[in-house]
Amino acid sequence: MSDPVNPGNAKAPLLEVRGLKKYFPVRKGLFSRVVGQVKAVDGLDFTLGRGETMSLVGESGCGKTTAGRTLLRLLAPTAGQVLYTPDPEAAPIDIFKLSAAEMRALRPDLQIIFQDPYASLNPRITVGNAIAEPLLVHKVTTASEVEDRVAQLLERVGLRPDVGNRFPHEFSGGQRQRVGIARALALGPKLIICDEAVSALDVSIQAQVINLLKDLQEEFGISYIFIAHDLSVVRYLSDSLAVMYLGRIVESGTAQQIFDDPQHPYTRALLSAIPHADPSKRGERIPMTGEIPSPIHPPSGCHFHTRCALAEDRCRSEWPASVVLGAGHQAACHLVQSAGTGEA
Amino acid sequence: MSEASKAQGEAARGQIKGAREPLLELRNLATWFRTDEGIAKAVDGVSYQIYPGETLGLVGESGSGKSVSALSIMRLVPSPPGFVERGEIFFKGEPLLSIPDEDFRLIRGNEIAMIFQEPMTALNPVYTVGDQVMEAIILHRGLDRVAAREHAIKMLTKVGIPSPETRVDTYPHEMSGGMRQRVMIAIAMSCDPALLIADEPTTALDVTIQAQILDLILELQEQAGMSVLLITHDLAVVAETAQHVAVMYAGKVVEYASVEDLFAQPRHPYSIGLFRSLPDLATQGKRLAAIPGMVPSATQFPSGCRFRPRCSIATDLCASSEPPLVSLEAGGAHTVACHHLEEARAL
Repeated sequence: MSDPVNPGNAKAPLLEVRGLKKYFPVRKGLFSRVVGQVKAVDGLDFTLGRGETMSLVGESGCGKTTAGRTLLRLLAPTAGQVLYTPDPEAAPIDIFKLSAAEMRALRPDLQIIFQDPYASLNPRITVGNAIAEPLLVHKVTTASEVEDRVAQLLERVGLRPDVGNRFPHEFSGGQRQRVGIARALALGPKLIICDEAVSALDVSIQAQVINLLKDLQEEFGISYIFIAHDLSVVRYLSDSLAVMYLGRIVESGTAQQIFDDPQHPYTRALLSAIPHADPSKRGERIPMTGEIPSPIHPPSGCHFHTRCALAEDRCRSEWPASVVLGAGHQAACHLVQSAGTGEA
Repeated sequence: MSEASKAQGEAARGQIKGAREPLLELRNLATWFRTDEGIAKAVDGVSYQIYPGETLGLVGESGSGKSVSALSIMRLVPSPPGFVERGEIFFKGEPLLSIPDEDFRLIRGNEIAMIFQEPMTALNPVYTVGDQVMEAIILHRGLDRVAAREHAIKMLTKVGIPSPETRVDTYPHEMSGGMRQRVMIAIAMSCDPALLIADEPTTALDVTIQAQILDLILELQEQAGMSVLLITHDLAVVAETAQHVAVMYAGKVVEYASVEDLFAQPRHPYSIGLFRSLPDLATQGKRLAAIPGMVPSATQFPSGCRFRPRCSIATDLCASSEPPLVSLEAGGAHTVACHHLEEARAL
């Protein structure tokens, strides 16, 4: 289970996540007594190679955003380990064991871009100052050089270098997302988490931003964790993929393995729900009734059994262990062998 | 949906197609807005037709005017600042725009119904879903509350809401996004509309729930024989549901075709660019062919063809004269507004 996604990667992976858990307490009553727990993220294991893109996909409420935020310690983790190895020759750093000061020193390496570029930029701060802020806070640029560096960053993300004195409302959604990217890029990160970073954009603008992210990856060797629900974008961008359902990874593998040979019934249903931009391929979907259940009271056994057409008795009582299906390809399903022979 | 009912639906559709009498037709409609920056020509000379029992997919990016054209049909454009500058809307052959507001209320929500992208903001949070479904039934059908409640439960059952007898008394915040959209559909369908306008009905939903909602709309459409105007930015959603497609750009329809023709060969440079921008059509690793630049502001449209500043084959002609929407072949349904159709073929 230690290296489910990128086996055979000779170099030490940039990031290795082991048993990541994030529970939120459920409080009720006058004294806010803790009456239960939402297991938003319930034991994730994955690795991310250098300069690679991994995607976390799943429906709303599956825990993909919480996972991204917890592994950057924007939320306090409940359990688990995140081993970060910026220098392949050196020993890995356990992010969750760092002091606040050590963590702050590491922040420049680990950046995040949010879905809503309207909400993530302060409307009263010029975009130039928004980009300059991390440079000054982390003292990577002196005050005299900061203007040049900001202009350089703006140019790199495809904006005119002289727009730094404008405010966010003067930009379109796509331009604002470019500002968000420039800001994440300012400190020379090794990892950027893109939390639905292109979901709010129009198709033609989305393509521009995707191209920009790919160019930056080639130029600077940045690794991405893409958190997304748009599977066609994910397919285009990802090297590897983890499909989440109610806080757990149900299937992981290379993008090719998951898209060409999905094994878990949930992955299959999810992929078949994607509409095709081809009228001749209309129709045949794997029906998936119902919605993702509440994570406060997840179903017993395999969490997916309530929506699974193939569920058997043991699916209702036992959580299935991950089965290795091939190099780096794993699925957590009791029926996965039989599914592999085409019964699903 | 059974095979038999599907075949029946197809047959009915075929017959209606033969008649070619549109249920709704926009002719050269222009809806403008007075703003501080000048007149915003959000919809500026738009024509499209919706045939009985069919779905028209209206695609385009934010600000292309697709929603404003639908709001114009429903008379929901805020006025001021919005106003219909010119053009006409025909519904069942009757001009809609000259009907007084009082009489139009008998059409809106009754013969033409609409569902919106955000079911949370479209539903009233302080009324139960039952009250909201009943409102339209009581207003348009004149049923008393007891009968209307019965009808509301029937509608909730029809749109696939589990245990509708108890759900009828719950509030919108107690439901998931997919369930709220089902309630919206129940409200819209409660008076058996001839036309359903669906404005980005699945954009806020997960792909699995999107599939359920699209299937539901198709199923109800086949049962009731209604027409659907489906507004979306997602070409794949159009491919799955529509018979005809109108591609809008900067307040104009730039291409109108059957879904088969458009997806087989888009002809306008903008439509071609849209298809190329889709990540699932590009092979992995290659760069996406993004359309450079962005949609111009509705107060400052460029002269001539409005796509010209982003178009790779634009010439002086495109700057000086606006290309009209013309049929590719005489009497054909595939119309395109471009001066350089031959050059566009080579794109």
